[in-house]
Amino acid sequence: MDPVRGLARAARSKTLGGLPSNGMEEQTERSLIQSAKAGNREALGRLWDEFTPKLFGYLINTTHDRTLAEDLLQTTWLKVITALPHFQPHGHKFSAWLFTIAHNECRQHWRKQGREVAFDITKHDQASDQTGKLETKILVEQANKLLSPDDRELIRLRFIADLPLNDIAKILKINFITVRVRLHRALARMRTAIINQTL
Amino acid sequence: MNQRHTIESLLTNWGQAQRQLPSNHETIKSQTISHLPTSTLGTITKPLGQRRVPWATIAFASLAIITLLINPQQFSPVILTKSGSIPLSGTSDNPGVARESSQFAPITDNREFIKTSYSATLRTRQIEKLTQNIQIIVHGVGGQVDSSTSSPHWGYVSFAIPANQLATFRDQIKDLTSARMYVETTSAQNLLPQKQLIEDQRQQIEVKLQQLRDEQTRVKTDYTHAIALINSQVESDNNQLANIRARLEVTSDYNLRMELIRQQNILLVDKQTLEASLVNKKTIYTNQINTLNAQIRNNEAMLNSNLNEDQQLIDNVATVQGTISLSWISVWEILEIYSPINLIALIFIVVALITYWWHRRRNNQYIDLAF
Repeated sequence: MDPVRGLARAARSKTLGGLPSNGMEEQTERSLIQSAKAGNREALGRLWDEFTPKLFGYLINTTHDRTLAEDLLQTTWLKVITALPHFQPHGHKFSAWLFTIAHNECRQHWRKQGREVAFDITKHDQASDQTGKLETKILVEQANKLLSPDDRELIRLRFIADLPLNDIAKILKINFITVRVRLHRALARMRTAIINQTL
Repeated sequence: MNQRHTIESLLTNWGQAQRQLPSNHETIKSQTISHLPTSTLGTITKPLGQRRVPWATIAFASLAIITLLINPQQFSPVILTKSGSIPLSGTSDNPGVARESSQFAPITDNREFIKTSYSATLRTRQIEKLTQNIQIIVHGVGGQVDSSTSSPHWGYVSFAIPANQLATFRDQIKDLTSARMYVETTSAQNLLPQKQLIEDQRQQIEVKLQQLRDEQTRVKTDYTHAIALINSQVESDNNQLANIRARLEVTSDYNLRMELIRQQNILLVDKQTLEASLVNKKTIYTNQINTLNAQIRNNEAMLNSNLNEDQQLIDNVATVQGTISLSWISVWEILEIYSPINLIALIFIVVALITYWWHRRRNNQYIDLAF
């Protein structure tokens, strides 16, 4: 039996409606990476399926532009493919590496185009409106507006990309403690904002 | 705690809701994954068109090479002779001192009368202070300052010091500034030809003087002998005349008297001739003696002059004439002096390294783990 297929089956069982819930096991992830390095497109496809929803959600929320997010998604994965032979985990997760590249792509885009575009829910992403959580989304986005761009990036990496604080610290090149403190403050600010909005 | 849990739950739900796939997910996926080569490990490389060439690094490295090729030389203190030639090592007792070849000095005469000249150039940022220090050092080694000028950017001191203090003096001057800011020019000349010329001249004068004195003695001796001979002849004539006159007084014979008178006349003429000769000899003698005396005095004066010249040469050898020039140095020049290679080339190399590091960092942002 193809080990990739077996691992893929195991990973697939953890998805929820096509979206990952808690991510794949580390061992599975490593095996898929090794297979992808060897040129196995199916393994790469599994990695794609595993991380693209989070990545695309992250990019959509960052750029507020679906077309641009698709471009950045493709660029990020192309860079992953290009650099995959050189990828040596050494205790780092593939997801952290992937989001580092995506984060840098966004920074590069902003450097060329200017800073982050302000969110306008009437213009941009409407895809998730059908989930019935529009109210939550508007509430969070309104609270998000009160945060600084850096704190918004922190929230995205934590709750959309579902990354642990250690990986976020590495991606943002800041101290782990700083990440924790900033996240705590950002949550407190959002909580206050949401309470004020709901009252 | 409950509120915290609520906001985190809210954001978790929001985060999950944000996760989605692109509308043309399968198309993008297949297009992207198709870029993965199916070859073996390690053959996946970045497409050539996407590779960034470190143009800035190449440009700055090229500039550094060009600068090195155009101007590879650096300021380095080299001790030169006044004629600009490199000193001949081991030809002089003094290290670092060049000895100029003696002109026409016979090889058998190995005496040395070394005349040393010293000049130095110091680069400093404190011209006036250093000028004063140099004067103090000159006086300290028993020398004398001939002239001294100083301005904010230039300084000059000329001096004379005893030759035996030169080594001490040089060491003290070197201590005033860094070795790289000190350029020394020392030349040494053996004055043996001049010394030999003086000695030859003295020898000739002394020989001539001796000859003149011998000649003077000979003239005096000759004159004395001649005068004595003439005087004896005159004396003989006087005796003969007295005898004739005595015979004339007692003789009455006419013929005899006539004969005596003829002899007397002959003797008188002879006597007059001798007396004239005596006067002539005395005149000649006086002239010769006067000439010889004059020549002797002249040669004695030449001998004294020669001795003075000899003493001056010895005094000259015992003294070192020197000059020290001071020039202000800028910070850029200091950097140039201490730079192992051409400073501009060094700057280009540093910039090239920085741009290469930056280039690598940009590339590694994607290629390696960007942590």
